Amino acid sequence: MLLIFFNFIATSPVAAWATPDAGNELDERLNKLDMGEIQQFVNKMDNELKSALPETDFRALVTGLASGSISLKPTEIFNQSISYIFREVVANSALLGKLVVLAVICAVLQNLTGAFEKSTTGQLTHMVAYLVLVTIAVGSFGFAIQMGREVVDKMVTFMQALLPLLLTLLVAVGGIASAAIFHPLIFITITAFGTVIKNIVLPLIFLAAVLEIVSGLSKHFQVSRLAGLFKGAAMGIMGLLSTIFLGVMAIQGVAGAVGDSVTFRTAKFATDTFIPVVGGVFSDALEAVIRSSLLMKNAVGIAGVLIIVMILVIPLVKIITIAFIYKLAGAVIQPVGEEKISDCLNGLGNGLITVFAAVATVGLLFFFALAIVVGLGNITVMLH
Amino acid sequence: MGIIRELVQTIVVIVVLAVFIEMLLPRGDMRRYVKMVMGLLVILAVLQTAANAVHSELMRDVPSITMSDAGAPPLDEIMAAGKQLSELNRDEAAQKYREGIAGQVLSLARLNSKVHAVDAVVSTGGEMNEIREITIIFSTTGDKYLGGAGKTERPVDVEPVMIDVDRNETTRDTGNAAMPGPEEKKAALEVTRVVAEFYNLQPGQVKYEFRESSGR
Repeated sequence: MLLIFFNFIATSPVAAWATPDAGNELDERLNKLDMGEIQQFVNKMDNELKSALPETDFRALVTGLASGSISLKPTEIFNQSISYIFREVVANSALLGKLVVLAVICAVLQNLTGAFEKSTTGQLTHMVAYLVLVTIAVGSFGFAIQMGREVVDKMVTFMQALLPLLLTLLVAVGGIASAAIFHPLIFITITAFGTVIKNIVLPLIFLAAVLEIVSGLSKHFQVSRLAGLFKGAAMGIMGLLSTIFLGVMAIQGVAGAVGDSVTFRTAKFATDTFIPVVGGVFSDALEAVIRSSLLMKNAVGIAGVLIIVMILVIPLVKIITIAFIYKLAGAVIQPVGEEKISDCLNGLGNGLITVFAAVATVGLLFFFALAIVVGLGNITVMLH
Repeated sequence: MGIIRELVQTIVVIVVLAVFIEMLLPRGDMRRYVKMVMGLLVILAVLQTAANAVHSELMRDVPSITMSDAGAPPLDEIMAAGKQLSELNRDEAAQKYREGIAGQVLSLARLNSKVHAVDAVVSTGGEMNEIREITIIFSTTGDKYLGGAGKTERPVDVEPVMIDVDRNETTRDTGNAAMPGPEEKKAALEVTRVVAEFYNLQPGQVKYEFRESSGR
């Protein structure tokens, strides 16, 4: 996700287009657009996220990106992300400590089972310790799931605020048919995708993790296949939805762009043909002005992608850090001889990586949706 | 999702119960039976959930997923805002177009050395921004270029003279206008004819004015 974002920023044409007057011209044009809803969303963002943004005023962010005054340094962003990951690992070290200590207690109890008069006493204590460990683990797992759901919710809300603005700009550059085709479907697809991920996929991953933990309670009562089924279903739904989402977006995009270009070319042909000598001058002037609108649309799109990444990065880092902690705890515990707990923690770590993948997929698909809408404007103008 | 959540809860309860019973029971054949009974309970729970799922109206949940796009503004609003922006773009393009044509007209007019063209005003209109009228402004005192091409405002100190090519008569805007000589008038008419021919316009669409500059 980060790599794609860096690539997008690095190859962004905005800075190359920027001229000294572009800032003022864009300011004037942007003042005519309603950005209240997006600004409200940015204002509601956490302070932690806001501090990571180069500019908290959305209008100023768009102007800055278009004029090149705000330059995103991929290296700096990457370094900050890495340092944030390490900070999170340190912050979650208490969880790691708890898990390791409880696992060691479990291992000691396991070995002491033979010392009790009845082996069941040792088993019972072992099971209680296991349940305490599982409670701690499930607590943080549930927190990660909740975080994932909130992120998906935030992204859907942001997309619902940003897309009307992008579609307005698409209409302004001549993509009337594209906007008309996109309008109902893009909103339905995004909302449906977010709702399915939030209410079906993430809970399924959580339930699969719970069943995996329950399987670890006794080797005689295994429900790991059911857990696998739930996990498989979650992944299958996600894959299916992603394919449908991308397919719908791509087909809509191409159909709209071609339709709009045909309309524009007809008008241009009429102007060039029926107004002799200077007919082309007007269509050329119109194209020049449309290109400046296109610049604004691209800047809005990049600002949108930037905010989506900001919404996404911190929770994703937190989720992957907790997954790493589980995996590390599982790896540390294994030599002690507590196979069940090690497997359980490893399974939880895998579950969290699946949550990470689900949330990142939502972000990636929304990024693609923005890229398609932005790119559609470019194609529409290019086909002029 | 509620059905699946209930199933998982039931399974968790069955498994925890089974583990406790396993611990409490003495070693022997009894354990095998308990395991089988618990296994049957799990199967029962799964089948019950499947039966519930079959009988429940799953399609009922579909609208809540697909129709929850209430936050999206109506297409009309988006289209209206987009068209408003598009109109602004069109106005800006038309302005640039008029300025470009005015520059071309001025260059054409300056090819004639008998008159001194100082400005050109182009007015356009219609869906395709057709040229409606071109007014070429000449200086009577031999002044060179006074203003930029396409400049629409008139200098305060000049007196415009309107000449309608259709009627071949000179009209004065104000009482004390500049009076060009017959040679200048002839040259101005020649320029308007060339411009009209060049842009494929009716002769009446190209007009000229003579302005006298007092300060220069």
